[in-house]
Amino acid sequence: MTLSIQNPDELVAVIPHLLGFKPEESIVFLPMGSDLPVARVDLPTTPRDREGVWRSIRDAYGRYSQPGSSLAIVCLTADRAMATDVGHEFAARFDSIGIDTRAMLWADETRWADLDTGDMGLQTDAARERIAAATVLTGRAQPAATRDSLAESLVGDREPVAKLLPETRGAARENTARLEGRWALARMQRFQRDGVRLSDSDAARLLVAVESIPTRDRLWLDMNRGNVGSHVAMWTDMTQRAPDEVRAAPASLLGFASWLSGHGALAWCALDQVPKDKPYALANLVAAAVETAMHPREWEAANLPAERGLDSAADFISRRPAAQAGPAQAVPGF
Amino acid sequence: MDITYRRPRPASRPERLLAWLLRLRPTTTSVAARIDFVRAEPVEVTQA
Repeated sequence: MTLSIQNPDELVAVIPHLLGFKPEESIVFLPMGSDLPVARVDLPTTPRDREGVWRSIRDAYGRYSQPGSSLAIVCLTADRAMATDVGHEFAARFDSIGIDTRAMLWADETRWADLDTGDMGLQTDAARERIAAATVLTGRAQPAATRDSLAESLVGDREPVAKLLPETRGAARENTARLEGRWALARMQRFQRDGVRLSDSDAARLLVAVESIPTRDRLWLDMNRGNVGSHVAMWTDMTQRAPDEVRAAPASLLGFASWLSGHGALAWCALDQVPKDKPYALANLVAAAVETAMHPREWEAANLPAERGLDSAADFISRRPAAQAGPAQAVPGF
Repeated sequence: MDITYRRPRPASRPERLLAWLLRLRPTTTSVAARIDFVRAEPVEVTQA
């Protein structure tokens, strides 16, 4: 589905719906009818910051650009002069890799201006309402007020599950890991059917179960773009309720599900919930996928379901010697 | 988050698949700037 934009006012209005939150003091790159990613970053105010941002986005945009690729640059800041400088600099940089800048806008809380033509206008309720209605049809959730509030939405009351963890671990030790894995998969599938929030005891049992890497992987490999909304809901709830000792797995799964659904900001917020004293391989891998703007379809293409009669790339990798399967060179961010 | 990769290599099969896909990508220098990349519906201007 294509979002139709009729004027700069609507272009500014669509940004929170695409990002999942209302950005402040940011620069946003919006592809125009192409396969490029949307990107937002804090407004880089120094030459060094701008160089850093460019090095981060250049490869991602260069990889997915095609002849005729174009984008709009929108600087959201109270400082219009800074927006003009930064906007023109990035337009020139994109031009150097063959991407045309079709519109360059500045916007503050209430106004917008075209930095090429000088045209100005007010941001209107009419534009916001039309865009909100159009994005509802795409199934997107309403945006959070700020990026901070998006991050805060992943922190809930963690005491109830924390109190249940000792007895839950004791009960899990009475069962085999395979049995707990089967229960976890069945519980996930039940949530996909009914969408009912897990009880504290089920949440504790699931969080203990996904400490087992094979169990976590079974739930991870259940994700696809058809059911990812349900996975985002499930792992958001688990991340909100998980005490530190069991939060690495659900937060990483939420990061992956967010990335698979195209929601890079939520993915970063989820990865921030992985306790810093618990290095976790999946979290690092998802961070690298988000950082390099890897397209989710690359994962889906590699992870073909077995029922299609083909070996998945995961099976292929599993048969390769570990020395060949690992990265030959440092993965970005590692 | 700390994205230093402290384990020698990904442990499980899907972790190795994801690492393998990432291996195909050019290595860039990690910078402090955090970019929110979003895959969204295409935006088209239908009227100037």
